[in-house]
Amino acid sequence: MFKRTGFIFNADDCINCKACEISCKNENQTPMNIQWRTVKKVAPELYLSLSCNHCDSPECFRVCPERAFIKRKDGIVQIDENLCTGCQLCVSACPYQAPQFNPETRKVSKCQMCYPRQDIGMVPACVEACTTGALNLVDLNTFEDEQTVRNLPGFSDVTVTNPSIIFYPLKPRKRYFLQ
Amino acid sequence: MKDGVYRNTCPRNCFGTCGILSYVKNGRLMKVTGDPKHGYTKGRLCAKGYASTQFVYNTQRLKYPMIQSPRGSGNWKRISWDEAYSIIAGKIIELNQRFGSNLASGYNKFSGNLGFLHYAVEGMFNSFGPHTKPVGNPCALTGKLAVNQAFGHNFSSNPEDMADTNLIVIWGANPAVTNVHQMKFIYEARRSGAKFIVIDPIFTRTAEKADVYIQINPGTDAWLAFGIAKILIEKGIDDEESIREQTIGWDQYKHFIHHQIDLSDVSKRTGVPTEAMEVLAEFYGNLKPAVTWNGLGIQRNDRGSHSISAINSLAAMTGILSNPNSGLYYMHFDIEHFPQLLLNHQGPVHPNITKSRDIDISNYSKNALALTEPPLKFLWVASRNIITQDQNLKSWHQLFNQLELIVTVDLYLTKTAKHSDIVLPAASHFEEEDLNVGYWHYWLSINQKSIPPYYEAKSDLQIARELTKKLNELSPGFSNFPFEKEPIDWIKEELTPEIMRQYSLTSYEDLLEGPHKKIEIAHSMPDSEKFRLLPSKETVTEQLQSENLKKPLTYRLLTPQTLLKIHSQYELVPWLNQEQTEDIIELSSTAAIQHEIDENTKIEIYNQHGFIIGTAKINPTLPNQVVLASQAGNNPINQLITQTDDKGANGSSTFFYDSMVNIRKWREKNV
Amino acid sequence: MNNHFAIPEFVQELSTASSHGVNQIVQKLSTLLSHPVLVVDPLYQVLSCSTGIEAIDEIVIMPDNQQESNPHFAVFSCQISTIDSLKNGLANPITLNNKILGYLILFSNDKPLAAGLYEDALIYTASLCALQMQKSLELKQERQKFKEAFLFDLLYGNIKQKEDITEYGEIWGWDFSIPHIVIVFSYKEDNHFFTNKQTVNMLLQVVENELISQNFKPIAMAKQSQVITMIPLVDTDYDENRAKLEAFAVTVLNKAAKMNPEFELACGIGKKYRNPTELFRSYQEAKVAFELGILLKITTPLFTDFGLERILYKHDLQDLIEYYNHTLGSLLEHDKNHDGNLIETLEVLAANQFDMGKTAKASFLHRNTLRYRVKRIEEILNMKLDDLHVRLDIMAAFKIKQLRKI
Ligand code: SF4
Ligand code: SF4
Ligand code: SF4
Repeated sequence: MFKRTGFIFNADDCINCKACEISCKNENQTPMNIQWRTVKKVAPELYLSLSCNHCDSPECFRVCPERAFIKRKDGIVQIDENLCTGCQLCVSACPYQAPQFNPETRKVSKCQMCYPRQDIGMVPACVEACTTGALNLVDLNTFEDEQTVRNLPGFSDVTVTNPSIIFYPLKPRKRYFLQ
Repeated sequence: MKDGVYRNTCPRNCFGTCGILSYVKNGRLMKVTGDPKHGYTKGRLCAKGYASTQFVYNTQRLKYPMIQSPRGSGNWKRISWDEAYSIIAGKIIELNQRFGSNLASGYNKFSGNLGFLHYAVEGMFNSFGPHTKPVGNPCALTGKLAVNQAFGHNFSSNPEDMADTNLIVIWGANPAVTNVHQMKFIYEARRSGAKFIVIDPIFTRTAEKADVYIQINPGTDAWLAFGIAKILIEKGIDDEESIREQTIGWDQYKHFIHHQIDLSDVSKRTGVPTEAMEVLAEFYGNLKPAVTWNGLGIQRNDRGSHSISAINSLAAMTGILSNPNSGLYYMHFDIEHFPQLLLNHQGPVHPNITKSRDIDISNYSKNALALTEPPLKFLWVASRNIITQDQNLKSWHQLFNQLELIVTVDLYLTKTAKHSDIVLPAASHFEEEDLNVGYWHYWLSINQKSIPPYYEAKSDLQIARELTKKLNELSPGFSNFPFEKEPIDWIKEELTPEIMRQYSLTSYEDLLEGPHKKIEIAHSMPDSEKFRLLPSKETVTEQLQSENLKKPLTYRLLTPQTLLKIHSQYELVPWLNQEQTEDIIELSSTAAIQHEIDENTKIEIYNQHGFIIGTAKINPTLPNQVVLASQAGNNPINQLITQTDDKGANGSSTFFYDSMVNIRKWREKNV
Repeated sequence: MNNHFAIPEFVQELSTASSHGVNQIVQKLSTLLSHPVLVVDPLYQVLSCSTGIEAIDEIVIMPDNQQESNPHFAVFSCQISTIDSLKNGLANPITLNNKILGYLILFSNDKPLAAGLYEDALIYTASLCALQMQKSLELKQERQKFKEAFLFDLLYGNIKQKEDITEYGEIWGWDFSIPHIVIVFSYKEDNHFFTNKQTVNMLLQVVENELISQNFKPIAMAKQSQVITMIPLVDTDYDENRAKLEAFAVTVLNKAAKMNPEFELACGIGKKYRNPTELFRSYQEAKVAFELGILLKITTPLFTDFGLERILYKHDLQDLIEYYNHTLGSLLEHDKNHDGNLIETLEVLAANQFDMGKTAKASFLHRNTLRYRVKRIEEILNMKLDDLHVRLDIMAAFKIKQLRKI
């Protein structure tokens, strides 16, 4: 059976350094307001680095009248900007704000999981940039770890689109605040 | 430039000194990646590094030399480099004739670019003979002296080794923000079972990740170190005999701890519950090897040196002297082992002035104003943005009024540049050759010229070469700067046979293949010298007294680095400025209630030196007596920071963390 | 000397036959032992039979207690029921590398067979079968990979030419010139991915077998927790199609539940598409129907049945909560303050299309009581329940609640 490439994000290790976010811009030279990956603080101490989740049931793909999206056999959901007419149905269909509309070109773009890099055996730019190792790739068809969960607070509902991302949650810690 | 991949090094004043690979096509920087051959950064950069293409190709970058008249009017006019050199050289020569020396000419340069060849500024001024120059390190000097004092030499352990330890205790450092690459070594240690402790007044990002976080009243670190020492000594030290042998002053130290330290008193001063002290003592006592990290924050107040000494003594007591795998971290000064030929360039001898006039950089403007015979009349600013970065801003404005010519070399029209007469466009590190060595890690790396300069930008070295040539044209023999030497010549000369041996280099070309690490890294166990334990009686008394100083205002202003900027350096890179982080003033919930301040409302913090306005953010984990504001921004917080004039000002770091302020709601009429 | 290494003739004959496949082995063994022989898969589906496949109805393995406790015999007895008789047999597992590939069964039309007599022959023949079955399994897997790649592309709309799809389909005997519909069967996942491959593969077999029994060339594949199948719809009659599909889904769900009762299974049915390049939509719709079916507790949810639900499901949560409270807030408030349950009455009423008669029956209330309650509800909500707009609002509000949005 094929791979199902997805992201694995360790919230316990992420330090919100944004190297992943900016390295994506460096790699893809996306314009100023187009963020294929964003690191957000979603709760005290909880940061999520999110991009397109290359869902198993991509809503973007289902609703696109131009069929600009394709789902590759390794799981990557790709958009062909040339086919995009800028109707933005995918933008409202995606629960994760992944597709980004560029008002200047009137086209939508999104994280392509660095398929040109993956095709030559490299990891995505954001994964390479993550100095703490919080962001990684896995094959969700074979990956198993009891400690992972499919959802964390601050992440949209995983039903319907079935995103290809899995998380390690925060671990409890000991703290002594000032008396 | 040929298409291809070049090796660069990030020259910022940062723990990373990262190796960069630059992808160049048609003379344009297409993207950057980390250099996988760099053993500390391991092929990664930080967010700022990844924004390099924007840093280089930014419409706000200075393209040409410009002059503005009158100063501050914003009425800029493009001039040629030759015109700029003529004006500047003319002024330097005129001042020399007027005052009979170059003492009226000075510069202010610090850490904007830490590359070896950026000492061209120093080299250029040296080449005129005696002049006015800044001395000191505003950032790290106090700690340096304290480490030196204890070990007899400067010393900071090998950062990669942190991965192999069983206990990591960080006092007042925030690597998750300021030293991101270190986190992977910390995590590696933790994954194999190590405990990770953070002690900090602020619940930082690093503190969030720690196994145990201990919040402490600012400036009381020494007390906590004493408290832990007390618990350990009381329990009995295993190899007391060897500690006594390896140190100076053990019995005195023990006596002091035993008789003058009382745990409940420590707890009251530090705000740390005794339970936390017990936990920490337990770890320090049982987990070996252990590493202790003195953050720069510890020494940025007037008790910093004692704190570092006390922490070092605790570390000495708990293994750094006996266990070769344990470590002590601060920062190192290995750059001083290089010839630093530009920095140490010898200028011509002056018939009656033996040496240059020094200005303590921690208090440059005030000290400069005090100079007479001759007063300072010409100022050259490089690698530094005074207006957002320096303190005592009022005296800066006074100084500016007295100066006849101000020249700023920068990439952008910074706030300082806006107050200058002439701005000269500086090359980015991708547009010049250089050599860099870390001050945290031990890697030496090259910086290749990978792209042509942006418009007419030039490197500090190139400017020095051309300006000194012009000076000699106008006044033969004015400067003895070896302007014929190419950058590569300077680089090769830094690599003496001894340096080549230390970094296992056979030739300069080796560095083109990747960074090289120093082979022998100083050890924590002093070979011949003994470790000097503190405190001596005098310092303790001094410490106790200094704490009794009553501060007139109620909140301590802390100003740590923000993530995406180093001081003010990346303010103009749009990728990094998508979130509004500027102008935020954080205060505790208690303070908010007391002053009836709501989240996101405008507030003002002020003291006798000035005020700034910002947006209130309530941070429930902040100590009550602390307010937090980020460096740089539209309303530079250093307006509020002054150097405590007197004691210890010479030979210490700037006490950025010692400013006291008050808070009030912002009302239109207050302005 | 040579006599010592002589190979019995029947061994020779069997191994020669084995190169022609399992069918030949079965025939040969049957001839040699003068009894009918069967080979079945691990789910007791007949793969080969010396008397022809049609004759067998069901096989029930009946381990004889005595024999099971007797380690001398690897074989065990079983019962084979055909349409008109019950027969006794001896079975021997066909195994390779400790994996059971199926069973070899020898049966008699009259008296039970003596285990001791046939054991050796069965064990040996089973090992021959194992090698053959392994070979054809590998072949099948090889072809399966190719097939899966095609199905993947079909399900994700990666083949843009209708002709290409029809052509490819013919390789496996599928006719994509007629309309198809996608049904997804999937094990439920909450906060973990479902990773039990074996269970999913068994489900795939159930689906395929069920399709075969309905005379379809099965189009089906397993994918993570799902088994996806495409069913051709020749009939144009909507209701008839619908009834067939639902019956099919129910059968699969029941059979699978019997096999693996510990895992929760559900299904979803997409829309019918005439053009196979559009079938990917049916797949995505089936998955949406699957999720909505779980929430609304519908066993065989059809995407076409959901209209309002789909829109509500995807709508902004905050907005929905506001809408809900705006519509029903005052009634909820009243119930809370008076410990009442008017909201339940209203819910039953809405579920019964505001028909008083049906509602009275469904909620076991006397008509007059119901009438009184409806009056109270109208007062509290300050709305008239016979207004069509009001009804729509109320139904939508209850849908939001059912969709677990609140
Ligand atoms: S995250 Fe959004 S854009 Fe990406 S595959 Fe899923 S639905 Fe599509
Ligand atoms: S995978 Fe590539 S395109 Fe996607 S977020 Fe990471 S760097 Fe950007
Ligand atoms: S690079 Fe890694 S640690 Fe930094 S924000 Fe991204 S995921 Fe988090």
